[in-house]
Amino acid sequence: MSNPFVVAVVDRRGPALLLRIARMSCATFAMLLAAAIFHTAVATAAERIVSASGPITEILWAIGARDDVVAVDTSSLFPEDVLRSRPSVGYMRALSAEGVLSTRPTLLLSAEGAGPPDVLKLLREAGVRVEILPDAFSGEALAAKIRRIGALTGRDTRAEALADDVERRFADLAPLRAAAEPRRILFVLMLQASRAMVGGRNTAADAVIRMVGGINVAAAIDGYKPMTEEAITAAAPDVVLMMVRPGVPAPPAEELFALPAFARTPAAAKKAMIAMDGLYLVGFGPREPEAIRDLAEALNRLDGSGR
Amino acid sequence: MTMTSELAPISILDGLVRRRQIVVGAAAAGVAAVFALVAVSSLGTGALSIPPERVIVILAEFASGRVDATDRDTLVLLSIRLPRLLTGMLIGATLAVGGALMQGLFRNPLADPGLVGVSSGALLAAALTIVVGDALLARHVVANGFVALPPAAFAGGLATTLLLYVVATRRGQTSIGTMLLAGIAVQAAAGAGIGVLQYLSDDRQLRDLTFWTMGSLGGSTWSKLAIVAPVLVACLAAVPFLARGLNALLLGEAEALFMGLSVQRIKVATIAVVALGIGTAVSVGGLIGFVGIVVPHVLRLVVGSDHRALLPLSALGGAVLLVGADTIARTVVAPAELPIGIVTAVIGAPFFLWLVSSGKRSLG
Amino acid sequence: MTALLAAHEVSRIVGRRALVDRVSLAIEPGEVVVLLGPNGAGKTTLLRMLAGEIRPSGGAIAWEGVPISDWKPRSLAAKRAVMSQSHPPTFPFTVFEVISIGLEGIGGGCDRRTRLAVIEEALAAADLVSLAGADYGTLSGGERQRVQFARALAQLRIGGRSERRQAMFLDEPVASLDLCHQLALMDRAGDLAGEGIAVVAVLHDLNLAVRYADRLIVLAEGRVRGVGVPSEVLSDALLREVYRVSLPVGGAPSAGVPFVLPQLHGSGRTVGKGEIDDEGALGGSMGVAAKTAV
Repeated sequence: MSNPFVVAVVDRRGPALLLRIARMSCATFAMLLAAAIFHTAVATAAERIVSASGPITEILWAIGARDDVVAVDTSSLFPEDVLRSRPSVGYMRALSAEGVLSTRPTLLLSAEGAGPPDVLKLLREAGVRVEILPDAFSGEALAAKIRRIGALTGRDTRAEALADDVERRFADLAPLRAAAEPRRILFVLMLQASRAMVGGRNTAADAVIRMVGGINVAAAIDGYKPMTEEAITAAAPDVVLMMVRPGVPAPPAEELFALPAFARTPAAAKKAMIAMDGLYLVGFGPREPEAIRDLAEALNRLDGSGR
Repeated sequence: MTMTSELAPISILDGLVRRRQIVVGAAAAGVAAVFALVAVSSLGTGALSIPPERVIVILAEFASGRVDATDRDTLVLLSIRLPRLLTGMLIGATLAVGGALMQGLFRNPLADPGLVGVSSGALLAAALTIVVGDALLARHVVANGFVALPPAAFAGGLATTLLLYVVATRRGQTSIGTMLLAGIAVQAAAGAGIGVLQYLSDDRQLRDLTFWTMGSLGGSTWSKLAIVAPVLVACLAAVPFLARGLNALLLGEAEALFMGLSVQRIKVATIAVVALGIGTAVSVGGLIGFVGIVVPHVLRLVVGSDHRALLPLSALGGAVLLVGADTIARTVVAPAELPIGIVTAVIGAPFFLWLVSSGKRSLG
Repeated sequence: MTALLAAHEVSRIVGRRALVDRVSLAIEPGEVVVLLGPNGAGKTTLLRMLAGEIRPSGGAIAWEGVPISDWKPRSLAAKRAVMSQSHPPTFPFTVFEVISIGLEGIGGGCDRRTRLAVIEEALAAADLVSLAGADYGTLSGGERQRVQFARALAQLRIGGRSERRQAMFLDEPVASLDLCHQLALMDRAGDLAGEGIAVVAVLHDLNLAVRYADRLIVLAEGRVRGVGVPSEVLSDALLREVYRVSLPVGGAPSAGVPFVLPQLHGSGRTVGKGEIDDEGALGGSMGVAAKTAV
């Protein structure tokens, strides 16, 4: 029952004790305040981020976290000077534990499929925060991703601003979709010898095609898979959307439509091929709305030249 | 043609034996010294630079059991580099000895462990796991695919070896010539299967498979080592017992028979050790080439073909080569990593070409 | 006393061809038995069956009365050694190493001194002492054959420590040897027979066979065509049937044609050129047929 503190207050000389309590409280408050400031300082100034995904790198740059990024992966191709100014930890599915640790990171950000799993486990054991972010295939998902990255890197305000902006720019695309004629589009990820890897459903390519009001002729396939010659011909695309790497010139349309698989498609008649930078178009980074707009314009140009 | 008694022949023979012992001893000492050097420097080298004093301190802590598990240097040294060094040693030794055993069995200096079917079977199994297993395990965590890969590769390697053995063995006698031909056929069949799987795979699976075929020690952990080490150590320990039999086989199968040796037993034991050892090595490290050809070849130039010296020295030499190659793989494009198969090929191919073209005698 | 080595109605049939067709023979210690016959007669196949490398398709082979399949490889290795035809080298071994390896099977129980002594004797017997440290791959065909002989001899010596009755198999032992070494090696084989070791040799050279064999076994198309002492077995008729040549056995060559008779080796006779000695035989180890044969 008898609370020593109360006893002390009541029994001892009141003012002196009050003074002591006041001093203690101030000290405590000062400590807490310092800790808060120090913690924030640790969270922001001393953050060392490894970004093992091209779109995530773009987002980090866009929210002003570039100084915190100490290393990137081979897919981080935008802005152009990223790979030149930062060491590369290699392909995101074949990371080296010691390699990543040598950059002394506090945080590893990557997309689904990063690995190998043993390496991620080792990194976590080493005290590195490993955050794998799901791929985004829509404006809402992208905005959520941006906000999450903002929270993880302590740049919530800038991330919030960017996310709002992205959402707005996606919303502005709605009239595009509404006005567009439903064109049959085939997205080709790459051509190896005569085999075409195409974008089926559940891919960023599929989402992009739908956002320009098109029909994904490869929707029967799940993911990025090879498509046989007959299937391509049977799918009868009006437009072939080819992915290229930045800085690599697109193959001429004649070459593509000379291949037997494509020669007998409706697209061949108009040489309707559009080549775009992969990271730009299907990376679903902050530039995505512009990329979709560019694609819509390219499609319209094709229609115009065809008539 | 009478006895040349004035030459005291026994002392000549004694001299020959002693000279040989000195050569082998010197070679062993040399290789062991290089090995120690390479092993120590591999512990101290890497993407993360750790000063030598720190390395010694951490190792001392490890030995005494008082380890600071939160220290980054400690983690890199003890959880990454040390298991990797040990794994590399064991795999390198197994690959080199496997090569030497195959060359003895097939009586051909160009034979490599692949002839017994292990590599093609492992590769096919790996491709199946990566491409098809992915689809089957889609419900589960992606990590399951990686966990299933080593056992699948191991099983595939053993299965192909067994197939080859059955095909080549009639009435209890294994024909090495038949095994060679059947092995070529199996390799072609596996290649066709892998081609189909590659054709069906998506971008991600294709890359995973390609990385696997180039080999890597990057996944070395203590838990993997705990599974793999007993098998590899057992295989390496069995090897000296095969030496005498293989020496005799080199004189010819009929000759070995006439000498009183059980030729079939020697063949079966050799094939079994190679299949087990290489199968295990490949399941953990992927396909790593050239070690099995270059190391025994170089050592044959120094110590000759006597397997009693060649086999143990090949084990040491293989460990040196692979640990050295791994150190290069880890540092040359740091913080990324080169697949180790590329490093062994880049070192091995030109070196082998040079050896062969400079007309050294050991190809016969 | 059971025969050292006995074969009864032994056959070897491959496909539809009988390489060896119901051959029976017995080998006793201390004799030199030469298997003769044209190419394809089955001599080497028979030898390999007797040595235990190939299993007969029919018939039985027994060493000391015990069927060959009941013999453990190591015990058989102490009983008999085989000098096979020379092999192309694939790996660098020294001559010493090749012989030393030959002792892998049965040399386990011996100490180093004994092994070295045995190898030393074998090297000397094959005139290889100066080549002991040479790379086998650099040797000529004839030198390599001598190494194989030395190896077989060394195995025999080691085996002789546990087996009293032994046999040496020689498969075309002189094919690449020059004349001097041919005769020397066959002399060594004769010496072994003198010690009580049975020698079974496949030879091509009729004259050499006649000089050294205690018994000849002439084979043709897998069957035995003649067995016995050389002087009884060899006849004009046999030569015509088996070898399909018309040559006189024992007759002198025509005038002006030089000839060489290995039969006279070791006989110590040095009759001069062109002279005819008391028994009417033409002279020395080399002679020219006299214009007048008296």
